[in-house]
Amino acid sequence: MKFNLSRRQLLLGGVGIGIAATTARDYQYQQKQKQLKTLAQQQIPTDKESVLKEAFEADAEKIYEGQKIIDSLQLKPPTIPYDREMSKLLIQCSKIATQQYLTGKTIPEYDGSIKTLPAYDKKLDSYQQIISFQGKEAQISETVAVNLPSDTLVNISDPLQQQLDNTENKVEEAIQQIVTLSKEIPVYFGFVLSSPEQNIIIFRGTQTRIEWINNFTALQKGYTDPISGQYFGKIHEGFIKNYLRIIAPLPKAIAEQLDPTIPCYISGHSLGASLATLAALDIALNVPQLKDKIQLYTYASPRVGDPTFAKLHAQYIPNSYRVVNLADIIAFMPPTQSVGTYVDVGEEWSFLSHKNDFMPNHVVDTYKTAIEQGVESDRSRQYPISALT
Amino acid sequence: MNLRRARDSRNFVLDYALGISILGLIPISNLFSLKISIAIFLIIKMCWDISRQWKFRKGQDILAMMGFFFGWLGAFAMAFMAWLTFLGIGLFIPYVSSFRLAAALFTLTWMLGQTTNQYYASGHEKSKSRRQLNEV
Repeated sequence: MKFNLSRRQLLLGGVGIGIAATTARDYQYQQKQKQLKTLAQQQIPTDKESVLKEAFEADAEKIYEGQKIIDSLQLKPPTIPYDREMSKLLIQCSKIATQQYLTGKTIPEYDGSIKTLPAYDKKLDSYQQIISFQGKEAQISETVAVNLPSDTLVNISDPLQQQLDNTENKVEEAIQQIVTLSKEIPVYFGFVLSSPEQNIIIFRGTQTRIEWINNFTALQKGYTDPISGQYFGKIHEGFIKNYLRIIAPLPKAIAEQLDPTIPCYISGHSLGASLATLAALDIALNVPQLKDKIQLYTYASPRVGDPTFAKLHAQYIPNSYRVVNLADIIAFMPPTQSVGTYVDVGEEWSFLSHKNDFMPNHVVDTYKTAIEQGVESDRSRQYPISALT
Repeated sequence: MNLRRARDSRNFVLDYALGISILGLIPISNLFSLKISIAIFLIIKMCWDISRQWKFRKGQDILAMMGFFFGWLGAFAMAFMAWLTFLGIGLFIPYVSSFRLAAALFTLTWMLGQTTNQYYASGHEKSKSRRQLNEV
């Protein structure tokens, strides 16, 4: 008993010393912080007006910092002019790619053939579909609304029970979302068409919530191509993750089989545009015989990488065109200076189609309508302009 | 379980909890891995010592096993809550958050010790009652 008591005393003494030591360290830290604060305050100039002026100037400069970065890259315009007819065909193919993805997800027996899809156009009859890209995506449980007779539903009158049920449902949903992230199912990512005149490689756009989450995960990651050893620069982590999900066949593997004497168009809408941007560089680096024949047409493309990536891209893919709806916020994401520095690739061809909301401004049909009407333009505009003109 | 045995077990677990919480009070940074390793070692030793005190008593029923499982689960939840509470209070009252690790380690050890003790106590009671039943 005596031993126990002395051991307890020893332990309590240890706890006491620990509390004292921790408090002393904290006190020391807080004193240091106070000193630093005082020092910082002393260094602030007394002339408040000049400080304010500097703050205003710095703020104004920050607005144009993005443009300065783009100007410093001194990117050259494409050597081949923008082809409106080809652009019409490519945006149609982007729509087909979306339908291909949805059909593959709904009908397990679907073989990826685009001829059976509603968006298929007769203009594509002269092309042969060589292959469809397949990859994996995170499985999301789809919910379908059904009408149930009211007597099957339990009527809850206890408000506390209601609160608990709501909380449990929310927790369940959150856990389910985290768990489903690890489940992956095979899906279509696009297709390759070939004709005696040209080859076309199409990637599909964003479809799932997870892909949207990936799109907005604007963290940059340095990427080095494992085959060529070429450093790509810093790339949007979500996009590179999505690109690496394409597994059968790999875009560069299929590009090796294409005729290197005819043009090779690579295209995509939204996420498909970012995939096309990465694929174009990947193919140009790893299939050098095809490099000069690549023409990249992107629609509603978000910014993919940093200035190093943009410069490398312009060097390998000089004939690159970026079609954007000026009212489409996705095309201006991520901001030039956010978690990293993001720069657009390709010559800008823009139009304005404002449908008063985020998704209608972005969807492939908005781009298709504008391109079919030929309203996209590469001329510079003077802003602001009246909404009525 | 008689009162003296219950008091001894509680004191035993309390001593371990106090000892392990001291680890969280060591004001040296960059020692977290070491602190946690020592804490895990001491917790395992405490559980071993408790089972030795009970002479590795067996015969626990399914309810005792379930209690043991949920007790361990609850111990980690409680330790997390203790850590979170100290962290939260620390946002408003200075110095409090510095004790968050100590609080979590104390709670974890105390809860795990109690759960383990209860588990072996259940086995003991059952075997004793069986013996008593046989005697009858």
